Amino acid sequence: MSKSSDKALNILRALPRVCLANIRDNPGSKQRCRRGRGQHGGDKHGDGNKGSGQRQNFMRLGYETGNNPFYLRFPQEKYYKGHHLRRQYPPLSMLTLQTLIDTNRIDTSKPIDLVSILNTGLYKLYPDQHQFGVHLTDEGADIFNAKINLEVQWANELVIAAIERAGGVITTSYYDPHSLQAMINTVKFFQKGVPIPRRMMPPPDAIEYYSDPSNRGYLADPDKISEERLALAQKYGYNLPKIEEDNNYDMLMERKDPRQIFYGLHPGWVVNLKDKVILKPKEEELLQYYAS
Amino acid sequence: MFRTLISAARGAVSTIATNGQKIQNFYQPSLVQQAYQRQFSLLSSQTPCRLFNQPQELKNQVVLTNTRNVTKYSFRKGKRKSVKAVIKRFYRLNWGVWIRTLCGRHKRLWKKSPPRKRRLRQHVFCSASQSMLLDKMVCDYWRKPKYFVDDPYNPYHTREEFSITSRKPKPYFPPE
Repeated sequence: MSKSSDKALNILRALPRVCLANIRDNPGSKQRCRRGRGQHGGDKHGDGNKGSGQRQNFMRLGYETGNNPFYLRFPQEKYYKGHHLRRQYPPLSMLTLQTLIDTNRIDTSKPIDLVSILNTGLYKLYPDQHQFGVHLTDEGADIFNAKINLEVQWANELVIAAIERAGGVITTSYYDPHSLQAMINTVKFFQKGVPIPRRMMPPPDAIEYYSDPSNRGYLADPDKISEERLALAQKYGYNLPKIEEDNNYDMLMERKDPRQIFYGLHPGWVVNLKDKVILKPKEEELLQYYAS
Repeated sequence: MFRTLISAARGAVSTIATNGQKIQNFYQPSLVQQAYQRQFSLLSSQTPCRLFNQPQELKNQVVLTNTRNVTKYSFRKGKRKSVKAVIKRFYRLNWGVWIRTLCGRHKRLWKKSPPRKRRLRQHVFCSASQSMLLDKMVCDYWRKPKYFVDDPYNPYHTREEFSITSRKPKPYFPPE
């Protein structure tokens, strides 16, 4: 007998006897059960047996199987009345403005308008969503100390006082959506090769705000504005810095024309960025159209 | 078996025969004839098209049913649509909760006590799950913040006053 068969017999001696518990079926003697159809062998994909879970007939949103639904239960209230007509002014806090100035994102040696705020890239404006410009909010008004010539679209009394106490000037001015679209991406607008549009007058419900000297409106009388500056200084109790004696008097007194959109550029001009020339209209009809 | 059935049928016929008057009422041969005539007149097209000649009648036949489902895909543009009933009754604050009025705030005020009337004038929060439902029932536009100036709801859009819910970094005051 060979060695290996000897070994095998030895192992067999140690193993238990063959019985029903340790034998298996002959190969091929048992047939496999039915092949299930579908992805998981014909099971229910985790949706349970019967009912709305399996049929996926979900109730519509807010439906409460016959109850008076929650979303119809309460009396109506005109929360959103006229929302599509009201102008929106996304806020910019004075704290943020101070940070933009301190981090050299805004040059204070030139007048600051919406274009320079938008060019920082940290303030976004969407005229198609009824947004009409910057609303300068009073957060951080206590620590504001930059002397600037600022033009925003909405400001309250405290903001005006904080700017003027620091020796600056502020103007509130209105831009129509077409002008705003030109200001958002100036390069893109100039590349279109269309003349700079003239700024439209504010709508009737905004005229009052923008011609009010207490709001420093751009349509207000300059003499009345200087009176209001003095009155506000007395109200808040600070000494009004004299901008007449200031070194940057010319910069501080620079204002846009009510029809003007960009500083230094007039409506009707075409800016050619490729040839670096500015084309100005000469025809009398055009000059009359773009005159303020 | 068959005989019994026949006999039962005979009995039934006899009962019907006794109530001859009622049978006539059931049949109403004159009405049937009218219906036939009407059908025939439509088919013979002596009046070209009855429906289009009388638009008012057609309009009366159309039954308008209320559907307040969320439109997931509109017919024209395939866009989701808001449920206007939600916009009419609720207001969304920017931090995610919706506010609503109270039921019965205009009803039977003569018998309600002053404190109760004061409570009815208030606007209250919806719960988190209710706000979630309302969020789903409106479009993106209503979930975006609106930057109106001089809006009475402006102070409620943030929760900076409460230390747990405030978002902005707190100002640093150096120790003295």
